[in-house]
Amino acid sequence: MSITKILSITLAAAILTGCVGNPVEAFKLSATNLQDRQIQSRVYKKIKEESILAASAAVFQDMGYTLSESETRLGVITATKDADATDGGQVALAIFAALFGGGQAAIDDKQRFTTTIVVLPRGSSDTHTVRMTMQRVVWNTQGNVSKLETIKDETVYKTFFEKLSKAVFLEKNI
Amino acid sequence: MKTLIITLAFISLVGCQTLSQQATGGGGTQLQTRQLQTKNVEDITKTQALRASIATLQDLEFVIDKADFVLGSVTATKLTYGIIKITVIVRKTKRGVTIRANARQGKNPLADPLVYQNFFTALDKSIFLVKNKIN
Repeated sequence: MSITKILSITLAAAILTGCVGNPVEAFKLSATNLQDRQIQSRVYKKIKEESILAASAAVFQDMGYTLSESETRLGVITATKDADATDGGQVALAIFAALFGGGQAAIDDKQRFTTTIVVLPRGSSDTHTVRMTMQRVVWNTQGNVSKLETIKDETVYKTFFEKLSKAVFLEKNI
Repeated sequence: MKTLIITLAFISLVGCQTLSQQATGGGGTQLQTRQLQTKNVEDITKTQALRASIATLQDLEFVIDKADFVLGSVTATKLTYGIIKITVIVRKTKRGVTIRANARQGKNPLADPLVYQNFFTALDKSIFLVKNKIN
């Protein structure tokens, strides 16, 4: 075996045991940061911070989440939910592949959503910004992680804030 | 066969650490590490610093795993670039606060000073917004 071959094997092994991207970039604000913040935030007026937090917790329950962390003094609630991740398109492709002798392909099976709500007081009294951020981990039918991602889909946030606005209305009028 | 043994021996040596080093991170650079992970901020309350840290983590696409006002700690996770975990601890000082962050990417501690420089640059913006109640 030549020196070059040994070196290539060693380097490949070192790379495989090591890194996933450059983490320095992970701590820089992204170019879409301001736009993301807008999509993920809403302002609520004439309501106390604890009432918004109560309304948010109620919405999490409405959506089938369980709370995993809360610190009301910092306006934080985090909740998680396990859900089915089966995708019709992937199933169809897997069947198609199997029919043509491609073997049994792994498809997305289950997922866990983790969502954080943060309430921040604004200038005037009883006005607050609520920001929601969401991530998910997806596992495939072989039990391996197939996706690790921050949810950027605008519809998800729009739907959440529609529910929160209703809950805030109820909270104000109870 | 010989070359294979040499290659395997080399690979095993690359990752060779004692249990003590694995569990305690070894010794030597403790002060240096602490310095690059820490920022002093004056004229700010503990609550403002914690809220600004949480806002920064959200800006950087982290979700909050734990937050404890009394301890002054926030732990968060980001799912891009593998799994990145960070803990921020805010301690009150005579003139303001010290904010210390330490992050890991999977099993690797993040020691690159640029990681912390980038984090504190983003934090500066949030501190300004939180202190002025603009968000």
